[in-house]
Amino acid sequence: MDTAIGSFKLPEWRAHTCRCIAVPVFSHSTCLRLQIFEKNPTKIKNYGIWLRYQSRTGYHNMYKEYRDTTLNGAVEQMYTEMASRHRVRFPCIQIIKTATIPAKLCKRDNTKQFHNSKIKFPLVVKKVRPPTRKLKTTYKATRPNLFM
Amino acid sequence: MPFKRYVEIGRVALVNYGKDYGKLVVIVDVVDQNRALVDAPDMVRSQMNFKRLTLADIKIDINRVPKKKTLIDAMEKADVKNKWENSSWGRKLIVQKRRTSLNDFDRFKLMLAKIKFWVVFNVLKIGIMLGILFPIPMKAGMVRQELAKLKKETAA
Repeated sequence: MDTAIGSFKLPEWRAHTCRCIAVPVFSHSTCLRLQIFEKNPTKIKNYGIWLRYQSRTGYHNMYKEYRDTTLNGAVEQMYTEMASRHRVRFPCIQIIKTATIPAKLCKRDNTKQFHNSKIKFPLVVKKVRPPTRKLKTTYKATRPNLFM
Repeated sequence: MPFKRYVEIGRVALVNYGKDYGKLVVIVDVVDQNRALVDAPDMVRSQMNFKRLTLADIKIDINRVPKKKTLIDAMEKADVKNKWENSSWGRKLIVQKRRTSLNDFDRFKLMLAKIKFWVVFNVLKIGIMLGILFPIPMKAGMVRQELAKLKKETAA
């Protein structure tokens, strides 16, 4: 798959998660790929993704829900989740449909639990890490304090 | 031990990793269990992993996903900047920043100030021990206060 959008080259895996439309240029077979950007990337949306995937034993349909700010992000989540939960890789997944779902129509409890305007939860474990990877060391003088 | 700092809308957090390292941001909405929608007066609203945030004690009163102007007003009302700079955590960060930004001349001045402080400190200490300076037995707390005052004066 051509991973260039216009004259802008993307790494292979990124190209799969970018929304592009292919515009044929001057009736040649080469296409101008124009990237579609998210209309409202600061708004959290519930994405429903209908997909068809091939498992080791056959094809199955699935409907999954994700909370994200962009469609690209939701689709990326979907691919990684399918790979981890069902061992389905990118070529075996076909996205049938994606849609933003209003909160009332969400089916999955996992997304519905965040539909709370007074949401409140503690962070249980503090991840102690150096602020840049350069400051990472193999050994530390003291044990980390993981209490938030 | 019950938790004191919660991820909630309006919680102020410090970014501890990444491009926005050191920024104070406000949690404006929760995307899912790992990410929050985060906003600050000087940045575009974006999502951030909780692993990059350290929650602070400050919480401001806002609704879910406020407009930028509302957020700025709420931060002014809650006096986030001053509360942060007067908190022990905020003060420590300011001192750290100051220390890293010293140039050689500043470090020289700091060295002189420290020498001056410790000379006075030791003179006072010996004076107290020998009972010369303060014939009336002084309470240890008062002595510490005097020394703390001296230390603050010579602090960069």
